[in-house]
Amino acid sequence: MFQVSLDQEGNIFLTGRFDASQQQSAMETFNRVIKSAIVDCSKLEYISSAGIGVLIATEKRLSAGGHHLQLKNLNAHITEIFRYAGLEAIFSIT
Amino acid sequence: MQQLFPRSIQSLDSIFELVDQFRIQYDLDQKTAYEIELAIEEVFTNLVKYNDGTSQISLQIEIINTRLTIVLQDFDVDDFDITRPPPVDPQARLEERRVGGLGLFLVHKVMDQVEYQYQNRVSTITMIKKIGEDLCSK
Repeated sequence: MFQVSLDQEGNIFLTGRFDASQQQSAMETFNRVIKSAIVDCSKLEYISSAGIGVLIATEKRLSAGGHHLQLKNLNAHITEIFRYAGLEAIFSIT
Repeated sequence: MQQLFPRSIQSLDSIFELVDQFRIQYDLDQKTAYEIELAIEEVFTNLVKYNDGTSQISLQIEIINTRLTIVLQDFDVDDFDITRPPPVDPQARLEERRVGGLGLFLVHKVMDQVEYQYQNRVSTITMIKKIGEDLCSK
């Protein structure tokens, strides 16, 4: 199961497993983000390159206007995958 | 464990259920289970996207001694080695980042060996990972 939701400030909450079957619907939600936002990953259990692709595409779109995503509370396994992919240099991760 | 899965991204849920059974059977840790799921998802989705077959895709997972072996087979397809993606530079800046190839780049990171074989119109991708010796007895 995967859920992506936005709060009133435009911050993003990811829950569950962000795999390729969720990419399209997640992209639709991320496309509603128009300014800098926190992506809370405290309930994100799994992410593959499909989910990472959504994050990169959103960061590219936002950064063109001077905005950025800030990723928070990644679990240890996801942190390791992000490290392999060199994503610490692209995203603000706290 | 071996099972056939429909050629669809929607098969991922069933694939993850199979991996979870495997994880429980061998008492695998969460890190290893994550890496198995990631490797299978990335290869399976590439087979679905880039191969031209219509058959179901076979997935086999086994552990013999300290070797975890994952085999994905795609039947009646043309010869196309998906295990050789375009190069990915993990140091690239955001504007230079391409999503294509990242999944298979990660597969090579989490697996010790990734091999492609093509014979009789069957594409076989074999991934091997060395695991802890405490699993030898299972």
